[in-house]
Amino acid sequence: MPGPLPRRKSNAWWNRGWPYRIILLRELSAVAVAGYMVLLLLLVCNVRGGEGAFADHLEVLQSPLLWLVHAIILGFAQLHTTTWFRLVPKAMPLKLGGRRVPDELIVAGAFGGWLAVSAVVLVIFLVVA
Amino acid sequence: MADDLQHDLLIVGGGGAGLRAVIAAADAYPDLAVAMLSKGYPIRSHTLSAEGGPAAVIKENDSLEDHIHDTISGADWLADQDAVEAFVREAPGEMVQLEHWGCPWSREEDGSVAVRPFGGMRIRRTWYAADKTGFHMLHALFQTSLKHTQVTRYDEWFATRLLVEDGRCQGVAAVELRTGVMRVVRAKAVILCTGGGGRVFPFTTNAAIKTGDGMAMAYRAGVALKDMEFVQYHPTGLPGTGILITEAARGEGGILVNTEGRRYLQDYNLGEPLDVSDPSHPQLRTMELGPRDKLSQAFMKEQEAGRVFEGEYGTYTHLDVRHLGERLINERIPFVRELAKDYAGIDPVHAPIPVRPVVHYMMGGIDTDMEGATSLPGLYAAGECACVSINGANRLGSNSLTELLVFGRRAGHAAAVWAQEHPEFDQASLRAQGADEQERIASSYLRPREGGERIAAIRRELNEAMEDGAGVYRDGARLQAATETIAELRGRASHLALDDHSHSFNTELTAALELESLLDVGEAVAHSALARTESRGSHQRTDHPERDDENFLRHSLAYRADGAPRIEYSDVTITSWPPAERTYGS
Amino acid sequence: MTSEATAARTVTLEVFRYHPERDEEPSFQSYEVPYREEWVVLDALNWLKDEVDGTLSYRWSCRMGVCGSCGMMVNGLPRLTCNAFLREFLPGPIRVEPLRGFPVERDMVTVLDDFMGKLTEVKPWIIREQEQPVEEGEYRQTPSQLADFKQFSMCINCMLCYAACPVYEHEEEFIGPAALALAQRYNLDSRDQGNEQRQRLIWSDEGIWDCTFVGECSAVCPKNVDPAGAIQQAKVEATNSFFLSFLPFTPPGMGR
Ligand SMILES: Cc1cc2nc3c(=O)[nH]c(=O)nc-3n(C[C@H](O)[C@H](O)[C@H](O)COP(=O)(O)OP(=O)(O)OC[C@H]3O[C@@H](n4cnc5c(N)ncnc54)[C@H](O)[C@@H]3O)c2cc1C
Ligand code: SF4
Ligand code: FES
Repeated sequence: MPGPLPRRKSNAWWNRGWPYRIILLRELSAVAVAGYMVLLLLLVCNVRGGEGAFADHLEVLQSPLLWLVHAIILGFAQLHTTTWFRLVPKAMPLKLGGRRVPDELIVAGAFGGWLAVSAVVLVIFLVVA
Repeated sequence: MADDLQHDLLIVGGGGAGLRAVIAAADAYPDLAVAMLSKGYPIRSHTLSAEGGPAAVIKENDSLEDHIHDTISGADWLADQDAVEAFVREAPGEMVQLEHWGCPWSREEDGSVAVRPFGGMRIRRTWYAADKTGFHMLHALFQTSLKHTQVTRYDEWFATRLLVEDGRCQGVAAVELRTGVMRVVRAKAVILCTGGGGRVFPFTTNAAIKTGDGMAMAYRAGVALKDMEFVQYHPTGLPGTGILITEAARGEGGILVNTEGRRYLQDYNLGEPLDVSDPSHPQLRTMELGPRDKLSQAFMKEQEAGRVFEGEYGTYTHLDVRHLGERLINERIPFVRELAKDYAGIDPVHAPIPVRPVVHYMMGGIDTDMEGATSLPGLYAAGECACVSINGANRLGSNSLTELLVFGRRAGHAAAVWAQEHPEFDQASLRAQGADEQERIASSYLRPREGGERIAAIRRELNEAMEDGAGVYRDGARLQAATETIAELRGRASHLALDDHSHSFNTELTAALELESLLDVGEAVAHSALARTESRGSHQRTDHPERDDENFLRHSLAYRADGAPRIEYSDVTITSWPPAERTYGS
Repeated sequence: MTSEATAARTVTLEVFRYHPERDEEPSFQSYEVPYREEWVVLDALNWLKDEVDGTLSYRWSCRMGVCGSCGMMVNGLPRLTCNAFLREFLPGPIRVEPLRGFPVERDMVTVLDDFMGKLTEVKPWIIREQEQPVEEGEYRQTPSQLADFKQFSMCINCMLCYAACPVYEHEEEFIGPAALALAQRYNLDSRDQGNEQRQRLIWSDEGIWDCTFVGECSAVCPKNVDPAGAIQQAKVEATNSFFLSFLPFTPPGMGR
């Protein structure tokens, strides 16, 4: 007698629909963020390497390939931030005056904070530039 | 046959009553080998469908006396008053105990337990966990039972027969559903906690598992089924599915209106309506908070007068909760909203809910005393399958959940004591009975047969016969017809042809076994109702419209016999509350 | 649509079949069932079982979404079949399979032993150093304290979340969403003092740290239990407690 059918696993779980695909991309986004860190480290090295190295670095940055790399990284960074910000209320529910703060409010707060920080960075950039 | 299994105490059924009995026995007697066997996982038991809540006196303004009186008058004086007194006295302790076990009761701001009003009560005393009370109670009990590691569980085992030897119940024969193997489970004492049998009717709030198996097993073993003619119709079920809209919807202020927009209950001696904006609405024991039997009967009269809506699934009236507003609805009766949206396609915040009376509960059951003991030594029963009786001719809403706890605990204790005092078994005979049962089932159902009948066809005819004969209003002629139909169906049911002759998880076989139970229960209901030529509580005979205390202030006892059951009667215990007229509408 | 027209319409059900006494491999069997506007998938299965094929095997009971027994994969997603309306899947066919991630006993009947064991392991009962006698009445708990765990107490053990979880699919040892949410439910209950007893298992590798926060468990949960949320909260607590253990004192409002 064959008996009960054992559990079966599939490695194609990520292809079962958009929710799963987005999660896979969200996990991949960490790789993109790490990649950007490498680029930053290279920049630091080249700054240390003197003016020639820095000029070379800037030159390379102009290449279409690196434009593309940056665009991809920016896209993943956006995905990373938005997906995780949406999950903030799940990990850290807030209570004010005995009532739970609605999830949407917490998410809005996270996005608001993000915008504020981005605005500050932008201002500093404009002032310095 | 596989090896026999042996325990000191076996509890059949994993609902509220069964779990309470298990915990009581395991707590008090840690050395006792306790086992629990149920045809589904305990967490699937029907107790979890209960929405409203259990009654117990806890608030300052309430008194035990009031709860006793409400219960006895609700029962139309057919309850045993000593049992009711014990029940009411022990109820608060049981509720607090359940609170200590983690049940998430709804609370007042100061952290004490909150209570809500229910039908037929002078004072609000129904404890609740929003409107998923039974669900929370069952899970709290089940989860608490898990800490008693000495308890053996047989989940998804279907008990088919009590093993009786030497005039004593010594276990059950049960089919392990996964393998289809018939097993003998020996036990020095057995408690049946198998729930009600509402599925004998076509239109019911009861889940599919409520087929009265325990009642039928006891009946076949010669134990009487008591007061089976009393079947409770709940006034507010969704047409079509029969899904319950809890009485809590009315407890929170919901109103019933007919096609003319009139709160029709005022025409049936249930008091005067107050405007829904009046702070005193809803008034206790009045109008929408009258008892279930009267409300269901009022609906039938409205139907006769043509003041009900016609729908694809029968007639209905409106249960209107719109005036409560979205916030209160979400806080107090969120499940009502969920159910109405899913299964009636309307949002009660914006539209009235269509409702009609629906079979809900069996007041009757296995005849037991206050300790759950039956006339068969070693056999106990508790919960909806038992009849102690505290429910008499009409159960008060929210007394059942309480009953599970109070009498579940009592039966657990009593059976544990009995098991310790009666050690020996007659093993050979029990084994032979098990083999006998296995052969009976195999030859009736598991061998291919030409031209037999389908289970569903017989079940449908039984359902129809019960509704026609033993509905809200009954009369001699229709009851007689019902008994004849049932007898005929019994004959036909011995020629069932199943499609499935295999062993593993054969749910067609369980359906056949459940049909056997339904036929037994239906037979007891119809014959008991035919014999009771009076009207009392939920049993309304149009040919005998008056209550007749002289002849029928007595419990009926149906004993299985060849052919029609034998109906006998026993006295009702009256202590301090002499029979009086039931009045509602303060 | 008139009821006559509805009655005449049918929809195709493709049902997973597996019989442990004779099948080596599962297969699908197609059935035509009458289409009715208010029917759920479970109604269609019941109709088939009653009228056409008594050998179909599946579990159900309450038909109102509280008993948790009727979970199946419907067109690839875990659903309670008593709450999945045929009309959602028109024009069909509708594919019905057992919940993913579990061994299959027969047809849509899965083997639940693993989960039932895990349920006991997380100690889902009130643990206290000192029981208060019943005579002294209830433990006080304010509505706000109740709200802290209420959501996690709504679980009906329907197993849809396990069927949606790729981690459980690949690692059977993972305690999984519903059992972890239940542990969190007791940990958050103001009456309970069993946090530490549950920690060893919950904070282990088979516990919360196995979860990669896919979050589909919460998306498919029919009772809005949000097991993913419960697990993340437990992770935050575990992390806090790890760092706090380096401090010589407990900051106010942290830890218990
Ligand atoms: C929709 C609904 C709402 C309700 N609301 C309320 C309310 O608000 N307040 C109130 O007080 N009451 C209410 N009731 C009534 C109350 O819920 C039930 O009477 C009570 O839960 C029955 O509990 P029980 O333990 O006796 O049986 P159940 O919970 O029905 O359990 C029966 C057990 O027996 C097992 N079993 C059955 N047959 C067999 C067999 N052959 N072999 C092995 N095991 C078997 C089953 O698997 C199950 O575990 C309600 C009832 C319904 C239908
Ligand atoms: S958490 Fe939700 S999906 Fe998971 S078992 Fe509980 S109710 Fe079902
Ligand atoms: S049958 Fe109970 S949840 Fe579907």
